[in-house]
Amino acid sequence: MKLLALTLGLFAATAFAQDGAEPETRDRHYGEAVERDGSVIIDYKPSTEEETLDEPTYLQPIEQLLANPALITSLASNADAINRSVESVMDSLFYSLLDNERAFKLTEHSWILGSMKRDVYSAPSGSYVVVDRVALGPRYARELTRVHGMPISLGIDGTVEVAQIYLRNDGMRLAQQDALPTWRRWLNNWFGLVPLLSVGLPPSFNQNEMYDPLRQIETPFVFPLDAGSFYDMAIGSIRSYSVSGGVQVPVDFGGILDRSSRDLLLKIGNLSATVPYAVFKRGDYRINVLRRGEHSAWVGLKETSRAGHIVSPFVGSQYFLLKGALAATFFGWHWVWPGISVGVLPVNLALEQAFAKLYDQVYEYDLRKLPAREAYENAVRGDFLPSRERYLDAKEKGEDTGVTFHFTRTQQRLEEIVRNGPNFVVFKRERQGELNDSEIEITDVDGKFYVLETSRETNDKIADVLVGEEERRIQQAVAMKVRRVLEENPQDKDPDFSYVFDAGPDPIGLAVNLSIQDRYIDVGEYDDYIADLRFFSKLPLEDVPSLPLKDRELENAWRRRQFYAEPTQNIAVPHVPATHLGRFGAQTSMHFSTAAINRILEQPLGEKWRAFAKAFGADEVAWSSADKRASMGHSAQWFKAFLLFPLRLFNVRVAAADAIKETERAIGAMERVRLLESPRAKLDEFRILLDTDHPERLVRALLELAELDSVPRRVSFSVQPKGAARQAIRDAFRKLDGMIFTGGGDFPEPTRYARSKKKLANFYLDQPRDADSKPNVARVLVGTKPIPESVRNLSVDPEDGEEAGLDRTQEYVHLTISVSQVPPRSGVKLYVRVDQAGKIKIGKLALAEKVLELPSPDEAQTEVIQAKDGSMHSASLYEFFLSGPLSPLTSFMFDRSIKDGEELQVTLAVSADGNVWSDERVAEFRYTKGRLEPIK
Amino acid sequence: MGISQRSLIGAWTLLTVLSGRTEAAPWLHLGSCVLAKDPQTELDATPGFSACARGRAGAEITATFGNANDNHWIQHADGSLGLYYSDWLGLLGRAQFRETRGLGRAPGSPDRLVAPEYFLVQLGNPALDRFRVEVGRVDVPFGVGLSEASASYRSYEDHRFWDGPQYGVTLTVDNKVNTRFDVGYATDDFSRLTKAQLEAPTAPPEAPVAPGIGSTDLRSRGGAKSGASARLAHDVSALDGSRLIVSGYGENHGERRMGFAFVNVSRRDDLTLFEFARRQVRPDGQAQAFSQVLRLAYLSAWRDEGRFVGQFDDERFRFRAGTFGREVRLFGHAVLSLHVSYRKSETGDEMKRWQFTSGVEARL
Repeated sequence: MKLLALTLGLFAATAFAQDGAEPETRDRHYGEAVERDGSVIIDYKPSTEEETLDEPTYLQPIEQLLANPALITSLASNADAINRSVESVMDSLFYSLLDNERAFKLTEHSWILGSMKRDVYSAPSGSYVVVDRVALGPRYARELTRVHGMPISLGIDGTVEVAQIYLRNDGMRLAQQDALPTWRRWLNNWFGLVPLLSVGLPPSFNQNEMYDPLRQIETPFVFPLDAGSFYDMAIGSIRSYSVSGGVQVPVDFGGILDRSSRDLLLKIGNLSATVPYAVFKRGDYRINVLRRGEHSAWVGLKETSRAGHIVSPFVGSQYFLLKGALAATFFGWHWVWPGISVGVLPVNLALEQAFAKLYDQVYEYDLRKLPAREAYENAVRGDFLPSRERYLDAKEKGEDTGVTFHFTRTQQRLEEIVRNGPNFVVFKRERQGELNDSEIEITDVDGKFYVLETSRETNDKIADVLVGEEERRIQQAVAMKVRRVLEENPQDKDPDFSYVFDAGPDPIGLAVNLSIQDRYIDVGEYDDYIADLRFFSKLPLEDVPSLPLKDRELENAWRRRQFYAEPTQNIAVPHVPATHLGRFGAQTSMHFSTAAINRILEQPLGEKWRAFAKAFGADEVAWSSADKRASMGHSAQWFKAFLLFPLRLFNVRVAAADAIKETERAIGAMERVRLLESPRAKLDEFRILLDTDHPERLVRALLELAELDSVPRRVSFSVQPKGAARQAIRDAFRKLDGMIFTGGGDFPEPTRYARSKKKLANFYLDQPRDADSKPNVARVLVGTKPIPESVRNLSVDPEDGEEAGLDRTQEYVHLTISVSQVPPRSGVKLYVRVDQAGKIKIGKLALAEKVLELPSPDEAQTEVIQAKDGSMHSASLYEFFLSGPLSPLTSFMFDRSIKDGEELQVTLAVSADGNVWSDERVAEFRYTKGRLEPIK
Repeated sequence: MGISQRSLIGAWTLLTVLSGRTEAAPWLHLGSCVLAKDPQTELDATPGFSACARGRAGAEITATFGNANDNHWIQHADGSLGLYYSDWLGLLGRAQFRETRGLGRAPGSPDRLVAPEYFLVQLGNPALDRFRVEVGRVDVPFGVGLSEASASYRSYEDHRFWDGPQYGVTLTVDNKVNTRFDVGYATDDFSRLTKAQLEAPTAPPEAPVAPGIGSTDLRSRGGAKSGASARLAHDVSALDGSRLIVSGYGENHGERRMGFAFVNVSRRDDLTLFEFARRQVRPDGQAQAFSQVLRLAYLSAWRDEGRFVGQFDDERFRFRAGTFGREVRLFGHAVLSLHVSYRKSETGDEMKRWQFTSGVEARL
C-alpha cells in the first residue's frame, strides 16, 4: 500500500491532470493565504528572488583563501585559534574532527608538519562551498639568543599544499549517495553518526561539514594532471596546488613586560601578552585549475614573492567552557571533551609591511582539441611554453588549437596590511585594511601595456552569535595608464626606465566601491545603511521605501501590558524590537575621471578645507578661513586626535576626533599631486591620500569638491525579506530588491586593465557559472486538496493498520512546483527537506529529507512563466502530496508534526543529473485544523 | 497558618466579587492586568484612579528519590496590589508567604517565611514615561533575578545575589526605544541617611549559606547597611527581541556585585533568560573567595492552557541544579503542576538528589 502511495505521489503530475485542476486560474499572492473552493492556496514565489540569488558574491578570491594568513605561523597560531571562538559549539564538538594537524619530530629543532582542513562557506544560492586542504612540509625553528629576556629565533618552513574547492548542496549529497557502494555510503556518513546528529541537533548543524571525510583525504591525489582526471571535476569546481616556503626571524617583545604588569593581566582574567615581531621572506608558486564548462579548462598561475616585517601585539586568553563535561572510555582509551573554546582578546592587532612581486597568468583550453589537451597537461605541471606556442599558432597561423591566452600580469607592489579587532567570546569586531602600491605590466591579446596603481581596501566585519556577520568593504583605487620609457645610457646593459603618462584620453582614474552585506537587519539598521549610502554616494535615493521603526500594533499591546507592570519584573520585558527585515546587500560604485580629479585638485585651499569639514561634520566656516586655521584653537583640535589615538588598539576610531589629522594629510597629498608631474611621484602622493582610517569621509569630501554631473555614481540593492514582519512591511522592503540609482552620467567603458581583472575574478568562489544551463525552480505553490477520487475509492486493507486510520476525505497539503531549464528527455530529481520552522532554531528538527525521482519534463504538464526581463519561458509542473496517505515523505514524526499544526519549512531544489542543482527555494507554513496559513 | 489561610480566602473572595464589576468598571484589573486600550494613543484608556491585583496561593509536595528525609510539603502564597492615579502616580506593594514542613522520619519544626517584597510609590509609568522614580521599600536595581520554578526549587536559591538594603529610591531613564538605565540607592536604616553615619559604616558578619531547605533567607539582614547600584539594559531586535543587561552594586561595608543577563522574548511570548551574577564580600577590604551564580531559564507562554518551565542554576561551590516542569491551567484560575529536578551539591559532600514535585495553586 505504501508503495502505491509513493508511486502515486511521485507521478502526481499525472494525478494533477486527472483531477482537472487548472493551474492557469490559480491566484498568486506573495505568501498570502487565499481561500478558493474550500482550499487554501499560498503562493510563495518571490518574483525578485532570481536577481537576489544571482547577485555578485563577496567571497574571498582563491589566492586570499589559500594564502597562509599567518606569515609567522608559530607566533600567530595562538590568536588564530582564539579567533575561532565566535564559531559555534558545533565546531568545537563535531566539525573540528576534519581539522587535524600533526607534527612528526625529526630533530630537536625540526619537524614535519602535516595538516588537513575543511572549511565550508554558505552561498546565497543555498549551496555550500567546501574547501578541502591538505598540506605537508618541513619546519625548522630554533632560539638563537636572548636579549633582555626577549627570545630571538630563526624559523624556516616549506609547504606543499593541495586543495579542492567544490560546491555541494543537500540534494547533491543525497543523489550521489544512491550511486555509491554501501561501504562508501556508510563511511561518508560516519557510519550513521551524521544523519543521527542531523535529526537530533538543530538545523544549524550542517551535514556538509562532516560528510564524506574520504574526499578530504583524496585531495592530494585528485589534482587533474591529465584531461581524463579533469573530467572528474564538477563544473565550477577548482583544484589548486602550491609550493611555498619562507624564512623568518621572530623576536617576542612581550618578554619586556615587567612582573607587575604580567601579574595584573593574570589577575584580570588569566590574560597573557605577547608582542611578536618578525622579519620574513616568503615565496609561493600556485597553479589553479577551474573547470569552467563542459570542456573548458582555465589554468591560472600565480607566483608571489614577499619580503617584509610584521608585528602582532596580542593580549588575551583562551578559555574552555564545560571542559571535561563529556568523557568516555573505550577499551582502556580515555577521551575527555576539551570543551567549547571561547576567546577574550581585548587587544588583537597585526601590522604587516612587505614588498611583493606577483605574477599572474591565465590560459583557457578547449579539451576537445588535441593540441589544447597536450598544452593543458604541460601547463598544470608548470610548463606554459606549449600553451604559448599553441596560442601563437592559433593567432598567427589561424589553427584551431583550442588554446586561448587571456593575460599575464606582473606586479611589484608595496603592501601594508593592518588587521585589528577585539574579540570577546561571542562578539567580534574586526577591521582589515590593505594599502597597495603597484607597478603593473600586463600582456593580453592586444599586446603589452603598463599601469601604475595604488589601492586601499578597508574591510570591516562585525560578528556576533545572535545575528551572524555583517560586512562593509570599501575599495578605492587610483590607476594610471602609463608608458615605460628607457633611460638613454648606452653603457648600461640593464637600463633604468621611468614612466610617462599614456597619450590616450583619461590617463588617471579613481574607482571607488562600497559593498555592504548584512544577513540580518532591522529597520533601525536599514535606516542607518540608507543614510550611509546617501552620504557616501551623494545621491538622494528618493524612492527607497520608508519603513516604520517598530510594529505599531505590537507597541500598542506592549504599552497595554506594561501599564500595570510589576516593578521587580519589568526589567525582563524588552521593548518592542525594531522590525526585523531580512537580508540586505548594497553596492555603490563611482568613478572619478582625469578631468574630475583635476577639478578637485584645482579647487582653492579654503574650499578643500570646507569640503573636508563638511564630510567630517566640523565647522565649515572656521575651517575654510585661512586666519582661523592659523589660530591656536584650530591647532588645539590635534589634541583630540592625539588623545584618542590609542583607542585604535581596540579598533575604535572616532571620525570627529580624527578630522583634523585626516584633513591635513589629505589636503597636503592633494596639493602635492597637483604640483608633481611624474606619474610615479603622483602615485606616491595618491597613496598617501588613500591611506585613511575614514574612507567614506574622504570619498564624501572628494564629491563635495567635484562637479557632481561628471562623477558617475551607481547604488544598487539586493534584499531578501525574512522574519516575522507583517506582509505590508515585507512587501515594502522587497521593493528595494533590484533597485538601482544612478547619477553623474555614464560610467566609462572598461579598460583593458579592468577586463583582465574581471578574468581573474573567475577564480573567485561561487561565481554563477553556466547559470543558463542550471535548472531553476521558478515557482513554489503550497496548497491543500483532497486525495484523488481514484485513490479515495480504493478498498482499505484491514491489515494495513496505520493507513487504515487515515482520513481519506479530508484535504492534505500538496506542493506544486514549476521547474524550468531542465533538458526535455532527462529525468528530474527533486530534493525535499522538511524542517520544523520558527525563529529560534534551537530544538527544531529535520522531519524528512529525500530526493524524489520525477518524470522527465516532456511527460509533465507545462505552463508559461515570465522572467524578470519580460521574456516568456516554458516550465514543467510537478505536484505531490506533502502530507496524507499519498505523501512520499511519510514517517511517524513527520505525520505527527503535520497533525499537531506545527510550523514547517520546506526546502526544495531540482536537478537533472544530480550534480548541477538549482538554487534552493524555501517555503514556510503552518497547517492547523485543515487550514493552511503562512507564518506571520 | 490558620490566620494566613483565612486572610487569603477573604482577600480572594473580595477580589472575586470586585472582579465581577470590572467589566462595567474597568478601574480594577485582576490577574494579568492588561489595559483594553493603548494608554498613549487613546485618551480614555485609563480612568483617573485604577487598581491592579495579582495573587496566587497553593501547596506542593516534593518526593526525593532515595532519601525520604528530604521529602517535604510547602504551602505558599504571594500577592501584589497596585493603586494608580492617572498614569503618573502609583502605590504598589507585594508580599509573600512560604511554609515548609519536612515529611521525613524526623520532621523538624516548620520553616516559615513571611516577607514583604516591595512597598513603594511610583512616579511615572513604565509604559509611557521616559523618567520614573520609585521610592519606598524596594530592592535596588540589579540583574533580573527571575525564577518561575516550583516553590520547592526556589527555596534553595540564594537571593542575596539580587537583594539589597530595604528602603531606597530608584531612578529610571528609558528612551522608550531600546535602552533603559536604572540607578538606585537603598539603606536598611533611615537614620543612616544622616551624613555622619554614612561616613562611619559598620560591617556585620556575613552569615554562611549552607545548602538545604530554609537555609537561605529571602533577605540577608545583617544589620544596617546601605548600597547603590546601576543597571543598563539595551534591547536588540535579534531573535524577535532580546535584552542585554549589565549591572553593578556596591555596599558601604564592602560587598560588591556585578552581573550580566540576556533575556529573549520570542514572538510567541516564550521567555529565555541567561543570567550571570558574581558577589564578593570584603569587609576588611581584602579579596575573598566570591560566590557566583549562572542561571539559564526558560518559561514558555501559556498555550492550550499549559506551559513549560525549565531552569538550570550553577552556584559556585554550592550546587548545580536543574528543573523542568509542566503547568496546566484548569477552569481559568487553578493550576496543576509537575516538576522534576536534579541537584548536585558542590560543597564536597557529593550529595545528589532527584526530586519530583507536584503542586496545585489558585491564581487570580
